Amino acid sequence: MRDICKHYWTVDKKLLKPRAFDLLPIMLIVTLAIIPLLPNRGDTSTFIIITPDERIVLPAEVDTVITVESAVGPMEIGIYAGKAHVERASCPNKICVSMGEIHNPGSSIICAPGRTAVICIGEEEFDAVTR
Amino acid sequence: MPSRGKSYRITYLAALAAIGCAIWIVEELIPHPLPWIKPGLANIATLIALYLMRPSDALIVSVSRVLLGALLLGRFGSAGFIISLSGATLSALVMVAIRKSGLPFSIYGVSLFGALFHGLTQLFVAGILVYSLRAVVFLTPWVLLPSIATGLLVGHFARMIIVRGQAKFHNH
Repeated sequence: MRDICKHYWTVDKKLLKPRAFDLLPIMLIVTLAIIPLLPNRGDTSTFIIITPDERIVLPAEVDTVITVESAVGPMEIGIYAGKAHVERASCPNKICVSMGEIHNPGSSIICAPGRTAVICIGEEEFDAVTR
Repeated sequence: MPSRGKSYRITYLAALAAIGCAIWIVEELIPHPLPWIKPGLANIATLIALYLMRPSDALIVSVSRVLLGALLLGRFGSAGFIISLSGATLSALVMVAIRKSGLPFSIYGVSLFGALFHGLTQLFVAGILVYSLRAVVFLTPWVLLPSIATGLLVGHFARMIIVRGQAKFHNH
């Protein structure tokens, strides 16, 4: 019989021990994870609320409380003194509520089960999102 | 080392795909507090195939695991299925490429790369299919940072199994 599996079931032990090179993917992951967190420069910020059915654009200067319909039920979002936060949510975890206030362009509150997000953006990014 | 034929390879491919599928389904059924964080332990089966069989066998194990799992959970063709399939395929391709290229990464590094590309692909495809790409950018840190821990964990488990498995096979 042709021995097609000669090289099976053996592996160099050296390939299994952790090496210094393994720090490279860790650094790569950390770098990629930090990039979206860096604050963008923007003078006036705007909040965009994305729900499964609609997109709402709210200026940061005007204080409001708005209730939107997420995929898991109503969600109450408040904008106060240029900062947005989720006041009440219908999901069991309430991660969005515990995320607190956002005001830097680039920051966001995302509710994955509700498929709803509140995103703070600077002026020049405005077109890219609403288009 | 005794001579082993084609049926041997097919048997082990099937067994690894079945193990990966079983782990994947159990993981899917456990409620996760954060929807985007999963240990991805099914990747252990892919890593075993990658190291103990032909590197390209890892791709077969990975893809058949997702196809079987989707059929069993009734998700075949859904958005979640397309997201899983693309993530599993690309991360397996990347791991095979790294293993074949002879880059000096250990199983931990390969597993980390697999976790990274799994997360990135899933984010990208989810951004196109479900969310907007812009919203997904802000979700990236919460997907990628836990993947360091899960990647190391999966790599370690696979290493433990490979070391023990090798000892067994040599005494055959």
